[in-house]
Amino acid sequence: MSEPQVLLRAVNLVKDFGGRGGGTRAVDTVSLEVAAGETLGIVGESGSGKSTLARLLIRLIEPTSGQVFYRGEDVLALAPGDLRRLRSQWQMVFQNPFGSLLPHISVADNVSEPLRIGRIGDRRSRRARAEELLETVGLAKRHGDLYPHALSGGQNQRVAIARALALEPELLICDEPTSALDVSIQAQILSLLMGLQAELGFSMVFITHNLAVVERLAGRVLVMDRGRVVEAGPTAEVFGNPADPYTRALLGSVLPAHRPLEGAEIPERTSLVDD
Amino acid sequence: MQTQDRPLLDVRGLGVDFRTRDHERLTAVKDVSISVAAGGSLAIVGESGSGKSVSMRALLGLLPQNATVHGSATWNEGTSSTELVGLPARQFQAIRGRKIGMVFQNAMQALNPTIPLKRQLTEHLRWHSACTRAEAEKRAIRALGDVGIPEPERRIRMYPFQLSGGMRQRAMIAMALVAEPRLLIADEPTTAVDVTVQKQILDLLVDLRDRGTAVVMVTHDLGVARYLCEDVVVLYSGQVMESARLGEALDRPVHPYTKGLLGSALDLGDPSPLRPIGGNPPDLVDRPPGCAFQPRCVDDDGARCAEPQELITVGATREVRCWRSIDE
Repeated sequence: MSEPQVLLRAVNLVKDFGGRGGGTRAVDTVSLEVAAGETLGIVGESGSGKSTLARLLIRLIEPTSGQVFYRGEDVLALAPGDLRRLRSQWQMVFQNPFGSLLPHISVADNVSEPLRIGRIGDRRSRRARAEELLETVGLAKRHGDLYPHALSGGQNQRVAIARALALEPELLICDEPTSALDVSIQAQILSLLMGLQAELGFSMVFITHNLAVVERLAGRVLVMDRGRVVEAGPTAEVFGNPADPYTRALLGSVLPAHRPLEGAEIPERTSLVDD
Repeated sequence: MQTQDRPLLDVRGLGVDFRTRDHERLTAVKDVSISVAAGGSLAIVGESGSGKSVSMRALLGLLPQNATVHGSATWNEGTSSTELVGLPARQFQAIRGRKIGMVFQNAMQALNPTIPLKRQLTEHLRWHSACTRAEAEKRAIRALGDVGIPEPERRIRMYPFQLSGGMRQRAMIAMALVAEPRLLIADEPTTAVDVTVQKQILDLLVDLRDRGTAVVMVTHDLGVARYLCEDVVVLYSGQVMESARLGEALDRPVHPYTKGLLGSALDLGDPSPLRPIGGNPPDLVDRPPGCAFQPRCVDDDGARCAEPQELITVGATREVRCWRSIDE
């Protein structure tokens, strides 16, 4: 098989969170692969373990058991220095841009923060790179001098994406990056991410509860329910012919904007619009 | 009790201004006219800052002190008619909660976390209809059952935090329905819940609508609007951009903003390319002098768009705030 190169591989990941009276298995024996340049969609409802899984993949939290390999390296066995080296290849974009940017430093400083931490370049070259990145995500140079509070939610999400791109990552983990945004801005951010991926070639793990977004973005999809993967495969196959009842329920709950939902026509009534 | 000539709720030229801290005047809602017939269902759609919630809160007298409301909103029932704008707080109590029920977006914040559901569901009932404690409890339990909460007798004794998000949102709806209002205003009731729960809540509202309660649904989700409503009003920058029968507006949108919203909406199994609206929602303090949508409009042609736009009647049931629609 001419499979593209596997970038990230997770094997039987389990995460238990302790608690009074037992505890919760947030992620239950999940295995997955992400190939170079591809987008893997992870869908499921709140509490299904999507975000926990994402954090396990890049070792932001430690799994209870299971393994993660990045380009064949055992991520969980890495020494802190090596982990740090790999981490520069992994970046995250979170749901709430107001919460994920630093409010007390300027937009440009937010964007160049990963460079500063990685001791890359000097102040001036970092500033230049930040301005370049801001333009890449569709903002102007002048936005660099502003603080996050002065920007809108959509603009801040662009800043968060610029920051994530600063180290030219191979893997971008997006955790509901458009859920907090207005529909028109959601569409802007999605086309931005798709364009950037085509241009820069990074892989994406895209977590969302919006199935239409996954259909557009992700070649393969993983459907999660209560910590387990209930269905996985090429998005067109899974959505076109869902095998699991939970996947069917999710798909059946999507309300189309462009055409009436089949079997849900609203009966005509006497005119309600004023005369 | 059939529809009279007058709609149940008739809003004419509603405007809301806020005084800001820097003594600027911020116009959040400008000349909005909508009407809801008894048993009708209206979607109010638009982005954040479009004035959706503010206009609804204005109708219910729920705006803070620094807001000024002008225009008119009449509540018509039988032969009686009440002007809601400027209605004294005491008289508002006879309408708000009783004639007009409300459901807000965030059920966790709208419910009181320190009080069990029972008191929250019966308090206003006892206030409004002066029924006995036992009768109120019976009705509250029935309302919880009606909104699909299993074991309502047990759940009514719980605190909000003991319920899941979807369950809390249903409890909120039950609270609004206990007094059997003629109109339910739902302000993004499903934005914070999962899709499967959203579907359940919408089915509940569809059922309610079919039993004759008028529904106003505030949402930014055109799929939600389409599922529930017969009519739609598209707001932008506090102004009506397009108002029409819902199918008419979404199948054949006229205003560039309505087209933009549709172009931004993703549907399953729909391969058409994403056509996002460029730019950002407007600054309400520093409004463009002409069409509010001009800075983001793909059809902007300068001079004519730089003039204030009037609502133009197109066909029998549609109004559009764009000079181009004259040709439609």
